[in-house]
Amino acid sequence: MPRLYPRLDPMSANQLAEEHKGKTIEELSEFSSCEHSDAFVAPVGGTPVPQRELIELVGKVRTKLLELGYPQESERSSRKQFDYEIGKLLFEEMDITLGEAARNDVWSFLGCVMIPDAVAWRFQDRHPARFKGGIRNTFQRLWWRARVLYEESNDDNYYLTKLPEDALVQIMERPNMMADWKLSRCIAHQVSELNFDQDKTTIRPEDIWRDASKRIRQRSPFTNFLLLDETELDLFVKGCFEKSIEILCS
Amino acid sequence: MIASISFPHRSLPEEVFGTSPWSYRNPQGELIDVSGREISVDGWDYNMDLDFQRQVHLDVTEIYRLCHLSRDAEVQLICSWFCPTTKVKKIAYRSSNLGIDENAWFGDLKISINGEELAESLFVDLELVLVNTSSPADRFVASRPGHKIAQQKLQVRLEGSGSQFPTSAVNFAESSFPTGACWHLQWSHSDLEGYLMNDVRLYLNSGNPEFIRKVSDPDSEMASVVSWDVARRLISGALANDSFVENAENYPSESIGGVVVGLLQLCYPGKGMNEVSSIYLSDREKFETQLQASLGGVHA
Repeated sequence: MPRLYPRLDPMSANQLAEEHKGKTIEELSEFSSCEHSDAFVAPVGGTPVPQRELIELVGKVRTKLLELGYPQESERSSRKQFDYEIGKLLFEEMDITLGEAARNDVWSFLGCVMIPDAVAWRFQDRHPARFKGGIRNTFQRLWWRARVLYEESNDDNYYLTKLPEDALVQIMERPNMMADWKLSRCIAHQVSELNFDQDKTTIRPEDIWRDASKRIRQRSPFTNFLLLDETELDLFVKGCFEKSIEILCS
Repeated sequence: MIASISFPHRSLPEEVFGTSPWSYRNPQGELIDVSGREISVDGWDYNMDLDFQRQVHLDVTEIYRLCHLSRDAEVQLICSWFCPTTKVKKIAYRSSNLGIDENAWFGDLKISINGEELAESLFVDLELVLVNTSSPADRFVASRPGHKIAQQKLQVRLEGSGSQFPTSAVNFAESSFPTGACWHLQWSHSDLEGYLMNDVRLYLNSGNPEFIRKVSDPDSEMASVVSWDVARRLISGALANDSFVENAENYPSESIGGVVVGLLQLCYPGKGMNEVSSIYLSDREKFETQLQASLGGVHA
């Protein structure tokens, strides 16, 4: 039976996300809870995740946060480390089905109710989209990155989630492309293998992966990438990156 | 057969798959025939796997001839599915290579999709795909592994409001929206690749019963004005996004970007998105008026 996490409806999430904007990290930490009067569990077959497990999950996130310097103001490097560590932790600990993980309401509950102070620590501008569910939710984006870019054969199964933020956005915020996990990992590999010699080129790395990502998407309507084996897919993606570099260099 | 113009190589219309309908097993276990290209499976939940079946008849020799494929080209029949919400895309059925010398190919497709990998809606695609070819191809002939030469889409809604625009009625007095407003469109201008059914929501103010009464009648002027405003907001938001014009040709038709492209084609038939964007940037007032004329809003 699927495990069902508490959900927060979009209206309550909107309201809380707006309210959280003006609160200090300390106030948000005090607000943090595993219960809320507007929370609900999906009315489908499944087992609600016990409160005890939710509390344990928050505890584990908090332990990581403290290691990263919370509640002191976060630095760029600790924010990057947060993304890697928390993505890995949530993916390994939550035991959540894809159907549940796809629900914005589940992540709204995490961001707005369970650990809003972690959101405010990670994103100092506290944009409401970081609290409420959606592709920019602090935790939702990290869980999905860990899920899609997870690669068992490597020493570190999550090393692809360490790519630059802009590259990850190019991969993860294109549902049609990202849904092909093999293709997403292949693109991530190419990004990780880009080697820049600043003396030789003035191309910005983000220009390369943005252009390459566009080339790949342009082929998507008339190509079924699922049929390609890893070598064919690697060859295709590599070709798109090489073409982008060639064009951008000329 | 009339060649489809959607692919940059010779391709075939969806009639190539034959006329048998898809059938699906409903939660009560009954096999239901699907008419059209869109269905709603009421009563679905995660615990229910989705079973589909259909028969496919292919005239293989004719397919090779119409697509100008060489004899050594290998073509397979593929059925894949894509769930935009759970972001999963998988192959559910893959035939062996279709033999060019077989005049007719007949297949009884049965696929089962794990319910735990689904939410809200999915697309089931039936495709003829080139998997290999060694002969040099003409310019407009499918030549790379993975190239589709025919495609038929079935949209399956698992929950919610069928094909209606995603809408919720809430009391604005109990929300963060201004109490006096009647509607609010929630979406992100930067997420044009998101799917309309998942990533856009129209909130109607249930604290204003008179407005709700009027807008609930789809033929009312109020409903028309709200629809027009929603279309206008989506269009303006998309055009304000620098990447919209650049990616216009690549948005899936069900995505927000794809829906906006469709709306703009209604307003400016035959014009490219570059041209439409220029009109938008050079004369916003005229642009808005054109939207009003094409998309309605007020019945005069």
